[in-house]
Amino acid sequence: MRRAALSSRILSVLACAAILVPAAAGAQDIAIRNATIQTITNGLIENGTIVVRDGRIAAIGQNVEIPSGMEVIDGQGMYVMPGLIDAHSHMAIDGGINEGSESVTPEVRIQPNPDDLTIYRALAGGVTSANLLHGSANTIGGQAAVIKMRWGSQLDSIWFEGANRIVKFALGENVTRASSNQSDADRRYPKSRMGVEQLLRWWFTEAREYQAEWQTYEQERQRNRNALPPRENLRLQALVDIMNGEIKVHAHSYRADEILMLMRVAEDFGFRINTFQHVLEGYKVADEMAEHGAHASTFAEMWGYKVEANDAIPFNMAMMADRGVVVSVNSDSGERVRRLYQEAAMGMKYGDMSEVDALKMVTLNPAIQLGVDEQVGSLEVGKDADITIFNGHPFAPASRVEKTIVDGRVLFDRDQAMTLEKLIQRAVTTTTEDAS
Amino acid sequence: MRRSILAWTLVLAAIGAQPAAAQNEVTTPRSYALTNARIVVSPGDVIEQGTIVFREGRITAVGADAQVPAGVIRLDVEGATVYAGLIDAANGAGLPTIAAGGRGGGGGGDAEASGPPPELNPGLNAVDAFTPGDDLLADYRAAGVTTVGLAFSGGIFPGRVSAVSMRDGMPAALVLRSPVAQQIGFGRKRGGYPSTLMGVLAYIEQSFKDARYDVRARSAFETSPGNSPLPPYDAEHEGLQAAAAGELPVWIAASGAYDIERAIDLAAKLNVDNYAIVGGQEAFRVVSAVGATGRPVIVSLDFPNPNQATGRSFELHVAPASGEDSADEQADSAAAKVVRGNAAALAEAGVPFALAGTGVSSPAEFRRRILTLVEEGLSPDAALRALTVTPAEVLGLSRVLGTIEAGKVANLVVVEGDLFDEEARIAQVFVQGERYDIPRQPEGGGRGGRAGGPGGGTATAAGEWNGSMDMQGQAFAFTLTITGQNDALSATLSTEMGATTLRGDLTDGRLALDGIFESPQGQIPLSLRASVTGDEMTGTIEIEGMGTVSLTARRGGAAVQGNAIMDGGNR
Repeated sequence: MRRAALSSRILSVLACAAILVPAAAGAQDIAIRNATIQTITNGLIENGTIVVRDGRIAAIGQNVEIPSGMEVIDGQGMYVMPGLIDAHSHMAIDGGINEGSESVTPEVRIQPNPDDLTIYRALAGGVTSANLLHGSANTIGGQAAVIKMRWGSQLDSIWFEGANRIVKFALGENVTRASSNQSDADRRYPKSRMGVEQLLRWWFTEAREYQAEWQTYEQERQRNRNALPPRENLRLQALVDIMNGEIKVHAHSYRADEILMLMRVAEDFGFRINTFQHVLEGYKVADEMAEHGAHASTFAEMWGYKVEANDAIPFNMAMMADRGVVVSVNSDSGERVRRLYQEAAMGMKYGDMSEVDALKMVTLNPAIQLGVDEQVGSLEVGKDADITIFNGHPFAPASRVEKTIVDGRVLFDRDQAMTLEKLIQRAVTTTTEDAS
Repeated sequence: MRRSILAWTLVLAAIGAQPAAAQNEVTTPRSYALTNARIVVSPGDVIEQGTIVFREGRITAVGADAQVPAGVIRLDVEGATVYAGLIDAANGAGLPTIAAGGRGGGGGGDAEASGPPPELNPGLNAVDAFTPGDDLLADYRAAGVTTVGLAFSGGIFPGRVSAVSMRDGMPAALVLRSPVAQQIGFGRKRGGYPSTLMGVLAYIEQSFKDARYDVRARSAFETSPGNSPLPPYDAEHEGLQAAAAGELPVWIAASGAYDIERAIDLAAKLNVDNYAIVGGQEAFRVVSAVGATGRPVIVSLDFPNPNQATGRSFELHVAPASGEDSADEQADSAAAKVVRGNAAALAEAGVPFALAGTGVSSPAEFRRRILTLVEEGLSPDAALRALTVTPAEVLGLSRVLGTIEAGKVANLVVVEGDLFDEEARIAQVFVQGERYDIPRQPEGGGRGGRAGGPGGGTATAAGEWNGSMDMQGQAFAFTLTITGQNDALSATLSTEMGATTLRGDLTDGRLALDGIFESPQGQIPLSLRASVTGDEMTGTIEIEGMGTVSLTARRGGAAVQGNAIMDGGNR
């Protein structure tokens, strides 16, 4: 009884603590000095300074002067790096992750929810951007929402402007519903891997015909201005956009054979797979992926949670990277997003990746996969001031995030988060007094 | 044909048998002069003492010196304030509910009924699905509401809004304007596509494209069938065509801040200019985005649970765990204030808005919540505007309703006191000139609850009532003799035409009696519905197949002579 009262008290205090985060203000001009700065692209700067103006990095280096009047963060003992990027997430989504009513739905687009608490948790883990993907129920799912962690912003401010348009594909057991307890008759097409390939080919053939109809119409219109255009179809148009490379494909995948299959289908229809997601057997076909131009976004060491995940090895990241594939490690989870940097660390343990290559898996490489590497992913002058400040090296087990900065605004601050611990202390004290 | 002959038979019989009108005054129906009234012509425009004249349901003169012509009933309402009838801009009471679709692609459970699914029935006008039940219209009037924008709740394309009058009668007779607007919502389809919010948004966009394309394809076919195929007929697209063509405004239901932003984006994608956000419960979070559209918001007073309002974490800076209240209680009360301050926030930002009871449990609760808004800072003028002028605009009836001006429909609320004061009593309501006296609330009857025993306390319906019906412009005298207990009443309705036996009850001051009138042409069901206050009764008799007539009666005393009863109480 007492325990229940205590935990409910703590819960209510936690709810209030959420209120104490700094209200989002305009972009701040701030500087960080005296810090160890991991630029990712231009080496490590000891005792370095970063100057942020209007939400962008204005200067970075050892001998950088801080203009007067700026708010200065003392980086003594701190490890400063680009804000982390999660290339695969389903957090902070409104109104459904899977438009699972049909197997091909590229016309739908993930609806982010900027109010979601997981965004605050992501910030606490140093993550500043994420790729909110459609689920894996559909062969061709919906379009993704690439967001910045502007927690509590208006909806139109949560989008990462300039990011790729991304669509989710999925292969294998989730699409065929291999583990569904529905009867075979109730399961929808496709029910097998061969069905998945056939469905893809059928729809892209339809899309080609649709595209041809429009081309014919454009010609006809030269002769007859009143010609009736074809009926607009958002689904087929999205498929045309995929074939034209205007929408990039991120494909949920596990087995080597299906990875090869999808690359062949794409090549037959004149497009490329941008990124294979999960891709636990990617190490078997890394050369083919590199040749195709596909990136990979994977787990560090999760495996065996279903049959098609049985052939996974933790060396996957390093082996794919070694063969020239751009590799990121992702969370796929509103929880793991808080410790994405620890996932990256495993690249050093399994496969001897360099420290920077391992860090790239949560910074520059996912930025490349999302098409935002011009804006974020490394600390360079002119890039967005998306910066994470650790109190030690991110791969050290005891390190934690002190501050997370998005567009020059401090959106997570451990000093304020400390309030939360104090509140818990107070709740514990008060409740103990009540009980005695 | 047969029915209209019968109606005339009744009327002629009434006239022939007993010319009921007073000897030297010929009155026209729904024609009154309210004198010595304090008149709120429109928000902020008040005539301290004046007269409102209306004839046949339409206002003919308003002013301090307006003359009372012959042939109207003069009502001295000294001490009372008269407002334009209130408008509940959007409400689904009396309409079928549209179940929320299930998640995912599972079957909806319901067997496919014939006809379109309710969530995708854009061609349905709300009034055609309106079944107000026994008390709804009277309850609206008791809250001062004379017009309602009938609007479905839920669904994707649930139908079209109808503007209806809160007079007694069959639904079709209540219509002021229909359709008013095409409704769009972010509901789900029961079974199948679309099963998610993202799916619904894409589906709506595709449907508007299809609706427009169908028009074009049909025109091409009809112009040149040799070169163009016959386009397939699709009832859903057909239902959307007026809205897609810009001929019918679009109302998009959106409550949460992000859904409101989505609605604004959607309107742009649909290329729809003439639209309104309906619900708008979290508009206070996106005031500038909403304001930038220049479009009105139809604000529901169905306040969201403050704990579930989005953005609470960011909008509220509440000191936790201090003082006597628990942190939860403090946060809730502060959050609740923000949530209830929605309309006031829009008013402050100059965003046009109408108030609506959609989702609110009853008309009485709607009124209560209006009072809450005013208590908490919305100015009475802004509230009145949001209940009269603005909703008249969003219903496309700004020349018809919303102010007390000559030429407009005589929808009026007579209030003893200030409309926005809790102590005020709404005494009388005129709907299209028809007079409805509002029964006094039983003392200590509890807020909104039903009174304890049958009949609500000591009032009984038993006795001999003398009164008159307004029969196509002619007063038609009757005597109603009621016996028995309130929960099981027997009555005899006697007129020159003969006597009819009725049975029914009296509950909470509402008298309901039903019976069969034996006419030479056959049996005609009659339904008497009336409010009983003390020794006075006002209400209607519905004569099946012929419509509804209004009646007033008084218990005891002499049999009435025509119109004598009509203004007796106010002379």
